[in-house]
Amino acid sequence: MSSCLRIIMKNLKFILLIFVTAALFVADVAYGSVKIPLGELFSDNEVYNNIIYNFRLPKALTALITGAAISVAGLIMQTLFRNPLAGPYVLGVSSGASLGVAIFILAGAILPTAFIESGWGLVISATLGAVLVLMMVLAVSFRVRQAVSLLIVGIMFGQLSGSLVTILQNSSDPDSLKLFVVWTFGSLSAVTWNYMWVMLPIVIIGLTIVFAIQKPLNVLLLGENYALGLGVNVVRTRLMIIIAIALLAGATTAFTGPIAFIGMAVPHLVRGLLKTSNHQSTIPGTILVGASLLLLCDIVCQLPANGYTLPINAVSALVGAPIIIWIILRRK
Amino acid sequence: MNILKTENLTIGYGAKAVQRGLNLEAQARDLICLTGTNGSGKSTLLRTLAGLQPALDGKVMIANKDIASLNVHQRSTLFSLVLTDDIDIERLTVRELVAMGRFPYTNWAGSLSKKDDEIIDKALKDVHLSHKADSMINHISDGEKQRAVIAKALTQDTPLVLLDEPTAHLDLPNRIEIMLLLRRLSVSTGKSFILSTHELDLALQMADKIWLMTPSGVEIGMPEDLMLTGSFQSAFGSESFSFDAIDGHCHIHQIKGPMEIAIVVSEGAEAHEAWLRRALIRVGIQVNNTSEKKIHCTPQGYQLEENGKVHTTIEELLKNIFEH
Repeated sequence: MSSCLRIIMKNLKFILLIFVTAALFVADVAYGSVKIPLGELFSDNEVYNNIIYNFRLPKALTALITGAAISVAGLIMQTLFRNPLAGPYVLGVSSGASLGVAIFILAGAILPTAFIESGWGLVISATLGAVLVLMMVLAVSFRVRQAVSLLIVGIMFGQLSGSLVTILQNSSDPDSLKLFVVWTFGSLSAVTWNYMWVMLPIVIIGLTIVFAIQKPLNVLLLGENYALGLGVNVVRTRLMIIIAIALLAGATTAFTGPIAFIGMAVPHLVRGLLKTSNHQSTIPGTILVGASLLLLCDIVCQLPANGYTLPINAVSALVGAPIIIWIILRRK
Repeated sequence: MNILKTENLTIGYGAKAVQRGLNLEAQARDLICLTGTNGSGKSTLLRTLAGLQPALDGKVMIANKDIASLNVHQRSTLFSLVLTDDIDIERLTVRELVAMGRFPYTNWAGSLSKKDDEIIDKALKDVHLSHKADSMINHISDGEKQRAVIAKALTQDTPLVLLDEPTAHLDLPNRIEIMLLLRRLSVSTGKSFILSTHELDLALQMADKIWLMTPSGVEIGMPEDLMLTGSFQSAFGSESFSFDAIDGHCHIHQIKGPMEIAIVVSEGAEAHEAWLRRALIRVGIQVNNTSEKKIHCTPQGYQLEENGKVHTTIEELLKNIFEH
């Protein structure tokens, strides 16, 4: 009995986080521009059912999965670069994913549209784009040791990807341009059930890799030389991290578009909340806090009444950007 | 049995060899200090022994195994590292850092067994950090942090520990503390410690053996032997200083001024005389006991013969001398 109690106390924060995440998930489904009375959530009303099952549920699931995925990507990026300011958005990985999609849609006009609409093409191109930028930033990171300098390099790579996308847009035919513009409007609500069955398995693969390498991740915090000294195959671990980041950031960006700052901010909240840097705790913690935070952002997006919603990127930046400033100030 | 043995080892970067044909040995309980001038290849040798960079030629054998033929995991059970790389991790306790030394022995999730916990507790005790086990590593002093890293190396349970300038960036009490700690550990654990250092004084007093790296090769020997053969003088010596033949301390050659002065010592003022001599030499006054100018040195003060004034401090005395 007492040992049972001890286990509960030890994992109290996790249990609370699971409750918070579940509550926010229900709230996100229940709350939206069309008012659905709580009592009608499971009723037979066809209009309500349609809204919930084809719109609200996939959107809330997307918020949950995307929040968890980009936050875990941010966590392992901070370990990989040994830099507290690393994250998929700030280091240009999300922009790289967008560039991948742009090349795929705009330059790949010869491909059948069915392939584009299935979602797999989007995911593959976004993942490859993410890998490309990640490798370039990693190469630069060996020369640039200062945290803020690397941030600037990442922003430059992001800008570079952005301009390449603009150039591609200017020189492509109207049909594929239209397809691409529709994609750029992507938001949490753009993920249909069809897309979900593409996104979910890839995110699960990414998270499985991260769980499998939690032990070497801890030692990588000490730096490459110490990790080697403790018997870590650094090259292989680094490759696994890059693949995991690309899958997590690529699969979600492919459908929702880049989401600002969440990936960078959440790991800091988690380390502060759990008071540890041990990945055994921070990985599950980051999944839960990341999912909760993006669900919360999505709820905030619905706040303006009259069927008008805010873009998710604006809300997530509103939460994430102050956290970055706080971290930079605290490190001085 | 040799814990470490190198056979005709050539170290360096790319095509540029820094040292050639090294045949070095280390036994259990050895505390070996690797010293030499900047650029003589201390770090390069240590990095090569640790397998962090390849040998240009020859072999490094640890516990009779050629490290070039071992994978990183096998190496991690033979030697552990204490490096100069800064460890700056938010929210990591001393205990968690020390526990990382168990990495080669834990399962995929890194869970610690009861035995692991005991080994970690013992290592914390060995470096006198048990009371800081739950402190965050970013909140402890540099000396404590270095001791925590040494404890991490201890929990790795290897016959050999390689340390790259473990006393750099520390203040004097901490430098001595770390050297004493390593000395004590080499005796109590039977491990062999090889460390690079610029601390000649400490190395001379603490090391079983010195590997003295010079541009022309590595001289190996007990500190006492190397001192008596003049190896230190030829490796480090310059016009500016020399090593005292008796106690091994370093004496700086001072500037020579035109003024000469003699010191007359009374009984009980030997220490006063030694420090007075040092002060005079520093300001460019040569001490020559045949000089006509004399200072009478007593435990009560310093009297300048020519005007008879007694000064209680050397500072006042020097002021008087320069006024005339």
